[in-house]
Amino acid sequence: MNLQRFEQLIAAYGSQAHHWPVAERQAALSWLQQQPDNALYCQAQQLDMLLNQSVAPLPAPQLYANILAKICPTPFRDGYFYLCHWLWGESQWQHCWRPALLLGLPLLLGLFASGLSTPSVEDLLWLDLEQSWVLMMAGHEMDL
Amino acid sequence: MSDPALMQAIQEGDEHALHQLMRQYMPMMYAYIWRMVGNRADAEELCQETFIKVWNHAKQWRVEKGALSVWLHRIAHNCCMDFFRKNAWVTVSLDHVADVVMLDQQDTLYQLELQQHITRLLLQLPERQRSALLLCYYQGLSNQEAATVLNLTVNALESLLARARRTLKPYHESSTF
Repeated sequence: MNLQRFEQLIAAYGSQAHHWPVAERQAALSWLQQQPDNALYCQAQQLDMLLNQSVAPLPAPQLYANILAKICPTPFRDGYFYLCHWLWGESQWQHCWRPALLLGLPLLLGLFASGLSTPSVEDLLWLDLEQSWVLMMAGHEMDL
Repeated sequence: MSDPALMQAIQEGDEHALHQLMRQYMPMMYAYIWRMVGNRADAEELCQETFIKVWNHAKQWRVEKGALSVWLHRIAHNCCMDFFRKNAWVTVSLDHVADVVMLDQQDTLYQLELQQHITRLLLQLPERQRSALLLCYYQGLSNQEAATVLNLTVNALESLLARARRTLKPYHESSTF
């Protein structure tokens, strides 16, 4: 260890011995005991005092969950992707009929449901009466 | 669980091992990334990117290549450098940074101003100088490990560190702290 190397260490690693390279630490400490008022060392101490006071925040707990969610797909997500893949199909024919089936399914269900509840003769009679009453009222308003 | 055992489990697709790795290393990696970018939103995004890369490239890690923390820091460093390259045109507002620091710390006004000052000081440094300083000063890496992360020789690292401290000196001397 000589003055030049000691000052190189201070310039690079600062004044705190635990930041110095292990191999040179003991020699540098011995050198420092001989020259405790080294100007470069005193300047480095001031900057180190400031840097030591820096406090970094902790990561948000949600960050762990976000990473795990991105890395490990959930069963729901698996099911969703499977459904999308099935609906889109693999051949051109499947690209047509599978989305068409998806879109047509509510229509078919609607038709099926309406077929189940066929209106009775009485319902139709009431419907006719309501319609004629509405038409009559509309005509009356127009006359006025 | 030791680092090699943890990585072995991750290589086999064990999600619990990844969770354990995150519990062990996330605060350290987050601190490094946060000091590199200076704000919480980008730090969280980059931290997420880092651990996703760890999961996807776990098989690349070998015990003989060096300590796990060095490999993790290297991935985080590369993520940060990619981020700086992509956002080279973005002007970082130091006032905005200061606000974020103030929101993060629940302490006295003096402490808040102090943290704001240190964050600003570190953000004055060019990225490689900042990274070298953070790795050696805050992350507890040895000079050889920090040089490995930055893909430099130890001499080049020392030169980078000395330049970083020289850059900080006038800013520090002109401050009231």
